[in-house]
Amino acid sequence: MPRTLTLLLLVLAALAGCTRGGQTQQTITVFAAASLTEAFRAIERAYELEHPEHDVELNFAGSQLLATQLLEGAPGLVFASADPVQLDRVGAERPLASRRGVATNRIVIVVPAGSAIMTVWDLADPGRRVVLAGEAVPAGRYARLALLGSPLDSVDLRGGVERNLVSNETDVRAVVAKVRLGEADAGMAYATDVLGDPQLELRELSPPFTVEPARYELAVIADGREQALRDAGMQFVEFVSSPTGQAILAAHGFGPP
Amino acid sequence: MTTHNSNPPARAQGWGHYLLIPLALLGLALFVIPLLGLIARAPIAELGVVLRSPAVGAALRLSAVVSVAAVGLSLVLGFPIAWVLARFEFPGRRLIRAVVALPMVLPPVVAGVALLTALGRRGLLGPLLESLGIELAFTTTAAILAATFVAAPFLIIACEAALENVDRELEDAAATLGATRLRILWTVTLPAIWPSLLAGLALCWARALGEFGATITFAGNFRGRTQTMPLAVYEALQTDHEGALLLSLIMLAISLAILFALRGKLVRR
Repeated sequence: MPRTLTLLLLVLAALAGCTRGGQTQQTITVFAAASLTEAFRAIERAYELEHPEHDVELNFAGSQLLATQLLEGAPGLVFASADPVQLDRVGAERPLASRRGVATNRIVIVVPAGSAIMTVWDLADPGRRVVLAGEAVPAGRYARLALLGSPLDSVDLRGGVERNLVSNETDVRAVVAKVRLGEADAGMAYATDVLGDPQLELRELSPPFTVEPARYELAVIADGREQALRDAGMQFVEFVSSPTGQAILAAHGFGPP
Repeated sequence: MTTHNSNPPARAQGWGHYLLIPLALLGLALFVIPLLGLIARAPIAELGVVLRSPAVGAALRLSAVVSVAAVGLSLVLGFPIAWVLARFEFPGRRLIRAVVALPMVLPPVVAGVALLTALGRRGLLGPLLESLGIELAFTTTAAILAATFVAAPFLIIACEAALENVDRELEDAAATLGATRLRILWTVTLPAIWPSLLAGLALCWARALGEFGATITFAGNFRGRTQTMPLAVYEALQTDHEGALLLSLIMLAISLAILFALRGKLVRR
């Protein structure tokens, strides 16, 4: 029995050691929109090279879900939202610092390579299986805004597309996945989501279906932090809008803010 | 701790209970506090409004349909599997037993991906299904299949264990009296395994009702067609977390009721 007690104490000591060990590096937790996945992984690497004293942790999901988590008090330090609306939601209850636009993107139609679907009108053809992100998801909101651009009231384009809608995905990457698997005939996602994927092609939206570009905004969630951590978060935000950060975003297909 | 069966009952020595009882309480807290959190935070006054909203009505109806259908399918396909596994000795039986139990430990999203690669348009059986004019993805049928895939093992395992414990002499006796196989199954075997079958059905139903990952992966998320309660909770969570709390509370009540009503009955037997 004493042996068990010793073991228990050893385990506790080890656990205490773990928490102590992490003190040398400051952790910057970044909640980022799903569409930023590859770009922000690259930014993380570049940032950590420049700031070895910081450890960037990335958490990707639909911006609307990240916003809800932050409203529930999730420990994200930096929020990179695909839609200013979601940052506004968080800002209504938690103080934001260093808020700024860092990139833009555009909604396009995503189809499997070689698809006969060419325009928005084809999405409304009876029998097409269309996948969108949910209405609360930034990509879903932008897509529905674009569909509202229908010039003639008599032609209910959005109604036609909604009839073909088979799923409301919870983030834009899930939309792309359903198209890549061939389960859906088309989806609407960001141009950057298709970049370099040989299985997918994009169809640009043409007027009158163009909407203003998707705006990506960053901010530090400033409440309840030590000054040092807040500063670290601001440094990360600075880095994303610095020439290096902007070059990485551009290389991943994002437009300037 | 050693036990001496030959000795008269004696108080066990040592301080083990000082360790185990607090750990048990800590463990209980881990289970109970999240439930209390849900109850404390959910705006119960708005329950009526939420229940009357069309999205919730559709999700409740769909969850009922999908979970009952999944239990039915699990019974029709799963009971025979359990019966074969329990009654016949054949090579590969252990492997089949493991394969059948696999969905219990598989992450549900993986189950969904597996279903896609089997039954999706580009899946193994995709061309066959297409030539038959069957489209599964994004349909209620897909949601039912997803729920069955993850829930049936609970029924199969419960049934198999029970079937193996049935007194074979009773079945043999019935056979010598001239009863047919089906009649033996109906009048001797089934009554003997009834409690276990019921337990299996309860677990199977609860699991089907809670299914999320495989459904959203394989069947997508569309109100009234594939958006079951767990998917509705997840969607609500993204925008209206008060609503999500209430929906979670409803799910909690239903699941608890199932387990309480059915499992309580079985343990007594």
